[in-house]
Amino acid sequence: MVKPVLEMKNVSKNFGGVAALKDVSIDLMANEILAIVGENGAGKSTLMKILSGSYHHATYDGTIIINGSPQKFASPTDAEKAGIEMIYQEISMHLDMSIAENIFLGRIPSTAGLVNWKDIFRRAKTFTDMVGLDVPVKESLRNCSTSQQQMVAIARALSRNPRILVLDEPTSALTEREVDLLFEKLIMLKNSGISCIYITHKMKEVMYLADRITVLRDGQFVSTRLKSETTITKTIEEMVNRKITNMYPKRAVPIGEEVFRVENLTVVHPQAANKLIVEDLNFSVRAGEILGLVGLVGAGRSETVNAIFGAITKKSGRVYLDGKELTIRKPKNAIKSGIALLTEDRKRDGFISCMSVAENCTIASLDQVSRNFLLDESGEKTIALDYIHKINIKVAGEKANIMSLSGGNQQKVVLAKWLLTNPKVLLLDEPTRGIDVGAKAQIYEMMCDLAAQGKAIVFISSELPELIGMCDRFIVLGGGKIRAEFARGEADEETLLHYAVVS
Amino acid sequence: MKKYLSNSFGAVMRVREVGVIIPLLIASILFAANSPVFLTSQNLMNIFRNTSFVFITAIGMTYLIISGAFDLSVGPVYAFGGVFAGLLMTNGVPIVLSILIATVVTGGFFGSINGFFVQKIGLPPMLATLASMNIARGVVTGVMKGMPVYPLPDAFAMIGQGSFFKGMSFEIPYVVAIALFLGVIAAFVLKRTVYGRLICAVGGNVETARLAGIPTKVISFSVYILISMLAAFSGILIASRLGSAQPNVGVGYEMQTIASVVIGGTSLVGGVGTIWGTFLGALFMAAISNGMTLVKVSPFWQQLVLGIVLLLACSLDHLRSRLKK
Repeated sequence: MVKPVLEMKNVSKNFGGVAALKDVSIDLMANEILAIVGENGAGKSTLMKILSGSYHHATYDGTIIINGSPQKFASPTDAEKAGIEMIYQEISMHLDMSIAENIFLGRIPSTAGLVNWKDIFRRAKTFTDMVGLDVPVKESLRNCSTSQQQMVAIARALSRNPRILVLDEPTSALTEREVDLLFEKLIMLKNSGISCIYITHKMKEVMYLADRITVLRDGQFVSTRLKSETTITKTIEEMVNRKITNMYPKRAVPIGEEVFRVENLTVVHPQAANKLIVEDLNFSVRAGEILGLVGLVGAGRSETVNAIFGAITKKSGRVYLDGKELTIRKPKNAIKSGIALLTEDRKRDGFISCMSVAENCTIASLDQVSRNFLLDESGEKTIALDYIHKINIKVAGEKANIMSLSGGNQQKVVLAKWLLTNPKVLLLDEPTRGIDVGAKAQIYEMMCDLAAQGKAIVFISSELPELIGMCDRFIVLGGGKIRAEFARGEADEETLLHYAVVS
Repeated sequence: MKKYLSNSFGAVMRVREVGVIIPLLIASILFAANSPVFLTSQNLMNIFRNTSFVFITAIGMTYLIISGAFDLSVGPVYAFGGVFAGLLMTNGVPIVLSILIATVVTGGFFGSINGFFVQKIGLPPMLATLASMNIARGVVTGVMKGMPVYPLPDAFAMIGQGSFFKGMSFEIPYVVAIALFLGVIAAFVLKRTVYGRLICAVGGNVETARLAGIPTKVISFSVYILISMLAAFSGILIASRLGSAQPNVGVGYEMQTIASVVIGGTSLVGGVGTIWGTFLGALFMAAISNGMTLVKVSPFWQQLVLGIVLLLACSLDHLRSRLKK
């Protein structure tokens, strides 16, 4: 019997009377990648915060055993000393420092206060080599791509000589190709003796990467299974405790006339004035149709929908709705014409964090809840409650602050905001990013309802399975141009990816 | 019992304006205990009158800070408004018309300059209004060569010096009545109108607001004009109160208004705040100054005390918001 590297036994933690973890036990073997999965609020983050020493050992019950010896962590430093390194969802590094400085941040070696840069660069290089990062260590982090930054984060973790690496949703900002690269490195690390705990929502990654899978639900341990003994469907069922017959509730709805057409859309690259990010793009969407925009990050998908909506300026191009050409110079024009854009990053530009659920719902259609510039608060309440029920937003009341909601429910509020404007065309940019499986299913369901009502939908996602599951038609973008077009059923993941990657 | 206490403590701490109410009460008790004059109706009236001159501009500052911006130029605009109105009056323009013209023109002019450089050119508000602060002060002292406009018509001086129920124990200075009237309207507009909602939206998240079709730049611009108009108007009132329009009034006025807003619980990050809190903030500042003079704190030391008070009040507010999380 192999002895585990790490055991967490009977861990329980309460937050002010609410149990976040109830008697959870996990173990991690040498040379193993263990995936921990669960919906938002299942307790994954709390468990990892306990492991990383973020919570003082007196604030929870249970024991942590590393290589057979019990540990009492009072701070993250203690956990680091025990060989545990965390790599968080949001990369916390200094963009204007060099790669080398970031790797040794907070513990730059010095002799009598003098820093031996030559030595630091040399040592930093050994760690970047280890993760296969092919960028000079003197380069500032700002000039690195997201995946390269992620690699630097891993290199930094490695420089502390860890035995256990914890990764929390490391791929949310990466393209598929970058994800592959990361996985290759993780498997290499595993084989060199570093065990990994991998936290994610993405089932495909779990099935590819993990040796064993632990499922948590509502703060409780559900199961730990060898990958070979379980399936995606089974894991998801365990996560949500209900049978999901079909992840994607796609319904066949009659597809009507062409509603929306874009001609010769050209957009200048946001960072380089002499480059085009979208070039002479033409496409159309029909009533009831869900059109998928496939492409890697940087292929011009977001820029396409943002330019249509008037959120960024287009160099040229025409947009038609019901055969009539629209003049869209700013978002207001687009909204008035019946176009809605759900943006990629809801925290950045989807909702207003100091406002309530109701206020966020009505912010794009205040004319509906006001008369002669006076707000009709009871009307606003009625409308907000209506949507809270209709699209099943889990919230204490319409006056609750939006920050008190989970990511999935926040996203539903943002969607409600756009539905209130009564759009004919919905541009959905990564609508399911960073939300849990249950909420995802509800967003899919809403998309089907909207299609059934005859709306035209443009759907952007970096997760190919959901595109394939939901769309009637696909356009593959690459280098700002259309590379291929497929109808539903004509293309599988590999084909789409092939056209997205190969120019 | 202990739990009950801690619960009620928590409930008190969750009130947005707690950062000002508690210090205001403590300060009042301290001053009342040490000076027989502090709680007399005459003195309270003085405090409220002094509050009003700051509060009127602080209304605009509340809007501006909620919208995510800032204005340092209110002091010189305050002086400019008074001097401009004074010049109009001494040149035969009727009083009401003078007040109106001086308010609208001064406010419109400096508000537009600030709005233009912040919104169109994209300068940080701190920088743009620091520059216009110097410009406004330079113009008003340069034109007047430092001399006040004097004398002003008696009828005009009545506005700043007269009261309702004159001579009675509950007399209300016109200035206080005007400030309260403006405050009530401003609070109503902020809470109950689309314009108020849009100001909060712009300050809460300007990008979300823009994508929701809100003319964010127009809103910001309008608030800059509003605050300059209120500063000019308040400056006209102080000229009336003093009986002369002086080009060098309002030094440190921007700090008094900003402190009132912040002490009153308006978040410097933008998006949230109340007029009511700002009123309490302005009242607090006025009460402290007044009380210190009564208990004979040397004016040389008063500034220090005000600074410490500002620091403590803001810390309390900060703790409160942390507690909420």
